[in-house]
This record gives sequence, C-alpha cells and structure tokens, in this order.
Amino acid sequence: MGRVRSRGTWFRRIVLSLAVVYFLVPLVSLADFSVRFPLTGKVDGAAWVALFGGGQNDKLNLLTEGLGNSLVMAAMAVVISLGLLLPTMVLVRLRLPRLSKVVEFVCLLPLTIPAVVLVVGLAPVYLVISTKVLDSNTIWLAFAYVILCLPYVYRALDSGLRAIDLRTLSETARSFGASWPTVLFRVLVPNLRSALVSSVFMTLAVVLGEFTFARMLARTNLQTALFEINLSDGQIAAAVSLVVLGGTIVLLVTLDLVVALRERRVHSRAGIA
Amino acid sequence: MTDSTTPAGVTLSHLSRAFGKLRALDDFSLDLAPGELVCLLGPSGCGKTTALRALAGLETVDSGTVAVGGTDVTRLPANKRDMAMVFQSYSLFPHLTVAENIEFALSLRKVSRGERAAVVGHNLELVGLGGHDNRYPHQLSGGQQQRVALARALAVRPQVLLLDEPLSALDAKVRVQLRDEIRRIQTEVGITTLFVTHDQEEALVVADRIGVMEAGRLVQVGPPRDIYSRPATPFVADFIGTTNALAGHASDGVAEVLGQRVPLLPGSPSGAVTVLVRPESIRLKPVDDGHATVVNAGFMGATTRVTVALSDGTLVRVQLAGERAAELHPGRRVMLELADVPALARA
Amino acid sequence: MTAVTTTTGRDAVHASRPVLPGAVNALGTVPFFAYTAVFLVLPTVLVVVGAFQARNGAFTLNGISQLLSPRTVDIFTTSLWISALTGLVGTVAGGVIAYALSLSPEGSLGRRVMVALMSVTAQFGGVMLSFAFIATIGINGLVTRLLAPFPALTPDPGFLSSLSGVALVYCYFQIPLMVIVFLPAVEGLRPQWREATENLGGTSWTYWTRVAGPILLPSLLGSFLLLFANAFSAFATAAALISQQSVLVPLEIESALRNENDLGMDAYAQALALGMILVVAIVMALYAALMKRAARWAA
Repeated sequence: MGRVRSRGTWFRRIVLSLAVVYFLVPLVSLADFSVRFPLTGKVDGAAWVALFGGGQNDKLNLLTEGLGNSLVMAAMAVVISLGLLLPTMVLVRLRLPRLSKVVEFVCLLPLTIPAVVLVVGLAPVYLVISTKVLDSNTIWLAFAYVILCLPYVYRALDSGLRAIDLRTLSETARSFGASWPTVLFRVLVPNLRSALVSSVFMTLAVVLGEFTFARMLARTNLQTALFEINLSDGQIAAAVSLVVLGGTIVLLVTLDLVVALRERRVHSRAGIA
Repeated sequence: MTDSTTPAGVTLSHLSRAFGKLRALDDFSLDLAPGELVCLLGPSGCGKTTALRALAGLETVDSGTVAVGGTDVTRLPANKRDMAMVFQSYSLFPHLTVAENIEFALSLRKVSRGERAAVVGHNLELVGLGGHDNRYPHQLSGGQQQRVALARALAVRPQVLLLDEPLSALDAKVRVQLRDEIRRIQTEVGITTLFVTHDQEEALVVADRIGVMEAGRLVQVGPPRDIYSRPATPFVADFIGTTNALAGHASDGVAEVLGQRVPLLPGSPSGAVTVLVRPESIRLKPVDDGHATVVNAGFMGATTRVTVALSDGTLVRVQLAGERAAELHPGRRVMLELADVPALARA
Repeated sequence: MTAVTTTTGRDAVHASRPVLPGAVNALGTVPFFAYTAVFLVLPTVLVVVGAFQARNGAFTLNGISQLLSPRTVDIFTTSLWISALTGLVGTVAGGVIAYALSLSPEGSLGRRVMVALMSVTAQFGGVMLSFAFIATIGINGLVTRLLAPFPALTPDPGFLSSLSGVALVYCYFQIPLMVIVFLPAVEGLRPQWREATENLGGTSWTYWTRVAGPILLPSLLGSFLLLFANAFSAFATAAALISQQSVLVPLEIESALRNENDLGMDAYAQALALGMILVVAIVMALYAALMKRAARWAA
C-alpha cells in the first residue's frame, strides 16, 4: 500500500512537471524572441522600447487602433451579452420553465458552428449593416462577438443561478415590495457576483483573442493588427503577444485564487457556526 | 447452495499506525471469535475505521500483526485476504447492474460461470431484493444500494465480513430497519463480522461484543449490557447513553449522593467525586418539600423524559416508564430516589 | 401555466399589482430570440441557402460540384486527418495529465494554478500561439538555437508551415482542452471503487480494465469528439502558420470568400461551410448518442 502510494506520487510529479515545462517553453521562447535581433542573435530591447518608449510609427499606430477597437468591442460585448442573457434567463426560470431547453440550445449552438462557417453567413449580414444600417466601423463586429461569447456567458450564469434559490430570493424581495428592476439589480446581481465576474472575464478573453471574423471581414482588431505587424517586425509582435498571454494567465490564476480563498473563508466560518 | 461459510477467528495484536503526528492506532489489540459480530464504537477520528482497514489490508500498520483463522496475514495485500467489505457509500460499480455487481465479485473469486446466477439470486433474496437484478445502482435508494453491497459481500463467502459505517448515510427509519436485518442475516449466515460505527444505539442493538475506542486505543471491550451498565471509564459512560454528573463523596466502594448511598463500580476513586448516574436509574416522587423542581416533562410514547433542577441549579435528566408528564408539571417539587444500581464515579 | 397560477395566489397580497399573464412573460424573451435570430440563425441559414445560390440569386450546383472536386475532397481529407490525429494525441496526453492532476490533493494551490493554466492554454489557439511556436522552433527560435550544435535534432526551417508543424501547434491547445473537459470524469472515480475491487480480490489490472476503464470510456470518447471538432474548426493558428496554399478547409474558405466575385466561385465558400456544418453535425450526433448511452447508468 505504501509502495503503491509513493509510485502514484512519482507518477503524478513527473507527469505534471513535464506538462508545466511543455506549456511554459513557448512562453519563455516568446520572451527570448522579443529581445533578440533575428539575424545576429544579439540581445536588443528595441521592441520593448518601441512599445513603451512613447515613440510613434505606423506599426504602433496600427497596433493602437487594433487594441482600441478590441477593447471597445469587449466592453460592448460584455454589456450586450449580460443585458440580453441575464433578464432572459431569470424570466425563463421564474415564469417560462418550458422555454429553458430552447434557450440553452440556442446559447450552446455557437459551440457547434465553427466561426469560419458563421462568418460566411455573417458576410452578407455585415454588408447590409455597413451600407444600410450603420457604417463599416470595426466596432460593430461586437454584435457578432456576443454570439461567440454566448455559450460561456450562459454556462457561467447558469451555474450561478443554480447555486442560489432564485424563486425564494425574488419572491421574498417582491413580498417586501421591491420592483422587478430592484430585484434584478439589488438582490440577484450581488448574489451572482462570481458568475458575473467569470462571464465578463470569458467575454474579454474571447473578444481580445478573436481573429477569424475580423480577418475574413477585413476589419482591424488586436489580433489582425498583430498578424500584420508580424509580417514586418516579429519582435514587436512577440512582445505584444507575451504581454497579452502573460497578462491573461496572471489575471485568470489570480481571479481563481481569490475565489478559492473566499470560498475557504466562507467554509471555515460555516464550520465554526 | 448453503450459507455455510467457514467462520474464522480474527486476532489483531498490538497494531500501531501513525499519520504524521496523529496516532490512529496505538497498541490496538482485539480478538474476534469465529462467527462473532464485534462493533468498534467511538467518536470520529478515534481510529476505528483505521483498525477495520488494517484488517482489510487497505491500510498498512507500522507495527503489530493481523491473523485470520490462525494464519498471519499482516503482509498480504488486500486482494489476497479472504474478506469482503461494505463501505459507507458509493461502493457499487455504477456501470454494472445489481446482478453484474455481484457476478463481478464472484468472477474475481473464481466462482464458475454456471454457479453465479444461482448465487446472485440467493443472496439478493437474502437481503430482500429479489427481482432487482437488472437495475443500475443509481436507480436504487440509498438503503437498497447498501443491501446490494451487503449481498455482494456475502456472495463471495468470505472468512470475515467488514462493515464500515454501512448505515450512516441513510435516513433514520431505513437505518433502524437495515440494522436489524444485518443482525438477522449475520446470525443466519454465521459469519465473523467487524462492524464500525459511531452510533452507540446501533452498536448496542447489533453487537455480540462492543469495543469502545478513544484516540487510537481500545478502552473497553465487552457485551453491550456490560458496556452500558458497567462502563470502565468516564469516557465510556459518557459516550454510551446519557448520564447525569452528580456531586458526591465516596469511600469503600460506596458513594453518598443526594443523601443516598449508591454502590460504585470498580475503578472509581475515593473522596470528593462526581458520580455518573443513568437517567433510568432515578425515580421521582412528587412531594411538597422535595429538594428538586421539575423544569419540564416530555411524553415520549413508552417513556417520559423529565428534567429537574436541584437546589444548587444542577439540571438532572430522568427517564420514567409510562405516561407521567401530566403529574410532573413544571414547578412541581419532587424527591429524587436513586436505584440500587452500581454507578461509576470520577474524581 | 402552473407557474402563473401559483404566482397569482402568492401575489394576491398585493392586490394593486397586476400579474403578468403568460403572453406578456413570453414577450420578455423577444430581445434574446430576435438578437440570436439575426446574428446566429440568419447567418447559418444564409450559408445553407447560399450553397445552392449563385451571385444573381439563381439556383446553382456549382458550389456543390466544386465541393466534390478531387482537390476539395483532398483538403477535407487533410482537415479530417489532422483533426483526428491531434484529437488522439490530445486525448491520450491530456487524459494522462488529467488523471495525474486528480491524484493531487483537492483544492490544493498547485492543482488550482494548474487547472487555471490549462483553461487559459486551451483558449490559446490563434495568432499569438503561432508566434510562440515560431519563437520556439522557428528559424530563430529558442529551442532551434539551443539544438543548433546537434544538427540531427534541429527542426527543419519549414517544419512549422508544414502539416506536421501545424499538428504539433494544435496539440498545444488540444491537450489542455482535454484536461479541462476530462478532469471532472476522473475526479468522479470514487476511491471506494478501487478499494472494493481490491477487497473482492481484484488487482490493479482488474480495476483499470473492468471498473475504471468502462466507467471512463464514454467520456473519453466524448472528449475525443470535442477535440476533433475543435481542431476541425480552428482557423487562426493555421492562418498564421501557413501563408501560401490552402491545405485545410478553413483556409480554403478564406480564399473562397476573398475571391467570391471571381469566375466559377459561385456558392463555393458557402458549400465549403456547409460541408463543415455536416462534419461537425455528425460528430455532435455521435457525441449525443454516446452521452445518452452513458446516461443509462450515470445518474
């Protein structure tokens, strides 16, 4: 038994160490690449200076434009997806339980339709949007990004709503005279905080990493800008990728740990009671 | 098909096992006679499950030996020991039906294919689940799952049956029903059984003998009646049943409590002591100049539970036979009479 | 309409507040359904219809006939093959990692960090991932430089833009995706099952072949299908690595869409997309059937 356990421990350690190395090597390489001049291999911080040194050039302008568009679209996607989904899901759970399967199906559908397929059908839709309804500004892509985020936002909200007793909470609030907006914003939202945080985060990750739609519909976002810059200056592209990837990892791990710590605190408090 | 297993005796001698600083087993010794049902009883973390798992071979011991039927099995891995275990829960294989779960066990014990169906049927009948062969575990209630686990354990006709808190995940009503049935089946099959539980009532009803554990040690072993009426230590007296702690003065094996003389059990100290008195060893006599006052009285069906307060404020719990609640209304003055039953005292 | 009746009863206290009838409730879902109709259902319908429609709106089988041309069939075969391969590698490697992870103490810091790391890398697919690999085993990559003294081990300069190179990069997001989707299944293995097997006389082999194996099999196959669909749909990674020819379906769709107005390209992009929909639909149908089968004994 003791022998078996130590064999298990070694198996676990070796496998997990290999996994960590495999997943970190490309990131380390990215860091190395960003500070090495390609032909001579000399260490050179030009890319980082160009990025954060406050200078101006075409590449940086393109990058700024792409990043700006991506951030604006991320914000739009967060607002639209939550504004669309949260009231609908609450309503369906409280009043229209028979529709819940339909809503779930629609929300998970984007997982099964590849983005490259969707974009073929979105091309004519955006043709109409850019010529007849709005204009050809990149930020209107946010409408389509909402669809890409739908499955993740749905899952986060679904697990959040499962964890609270929605019916009792809302009926209690209503019995004290609260209006529906009050129920939504002052009773439900605070109780769904971690579900909301994780859906916001997933939306950010999806929108900042999106390439397919923007590339195929010839718009400029962070990823297409990086793609273009890489053709002329690999170092800057590597530096920006590292910042985005590293930032995402740090943010997600921190978020997870904060949630874990809070859970632990809640549990230990419950334990004392 | 017969139920005749070959009941084997079990000898656990001087077992010790430490998990870091925690001593789960501390020089633990226990004998089980062939066909006997012994309950290991104690609070959680006292080491009772470790003792059972050491016997099963699922846990190694730091020192000591385990012998079954006179053969030393200390070094044998779990799958070479001829035992079968019923776990607290989740031990049925979810992808196999009830019948397949039992057949799986039989195939591991090299029972021929032709014999299996009969054994499955017989053991399901034994636990009262005949006809449930093709259900999957998740289609059964918790109580039914534990019955299947029991049938599976009995089907392999092991030398020793191990029950690790088999009832603690069940509802109170099912628990009582299945507890009685385990005892009936165990007697019928005549298998040596080690039953681990933290529920003293369960142990009192089911066991031939009870071993009470505290911090990895066996503090008292004996028939349920002895454990209840002649506890060896205050821990045992406290853990089994309810006791009242009454101040008194002891000398020569007799204590003076509430102005009455109570015989003391061996091991009780002398001098100023606390005497541990069972609620049913006290009788109440309603008298106007009584030294105690009724605080409340609850009708429990066959018995009445009364709480009285002594003049110094000490609360004493009393259990009376029959319906006496009406006569002992709160505020009534009463006299306490202690039965002439030996009690344990602590310093 | 039981829900409404109960609410009527409870809300009766507030006699002044009228209760929303069912139809009004249903109106509340209109924004959601309208939005998804425009941005999800309509595009999908446009793809399906467009596969049979020429520029001028007339019915055409041009797209379908091109879809069935040897060259396009080749591209689909390559895509299916690379999806199956990276799906398989991801399933095996990710499965082992998930099992190793399930052995570490639940809720431990290391495990949480690892799971978080995996969920980020599973979403990494894309342009930045390709850069990371170019920086690793591209011409000037870190590993390439470190291996320079050993010519036999040095990656070929064109490796990353070859299919094997693309497959390697796909594994980078396939493996963590496997860990994420498969971890709940291995976490569901109860220690009691192993102990009961041992206790009944079984060995480790018995446990893996007759207990854990069969229990995990449906989710293992299901995870493989998800990985397959994931690789099949991937576009950005391949686009950033392969710049010249269209060897994979998503790349071919891009070039078809770009040259939509060229002669003979009528309905081709839509037909390719329809082909992808069919493949993914088959994969998902298999997945659903598998889950249904597993549901027979999983509560």
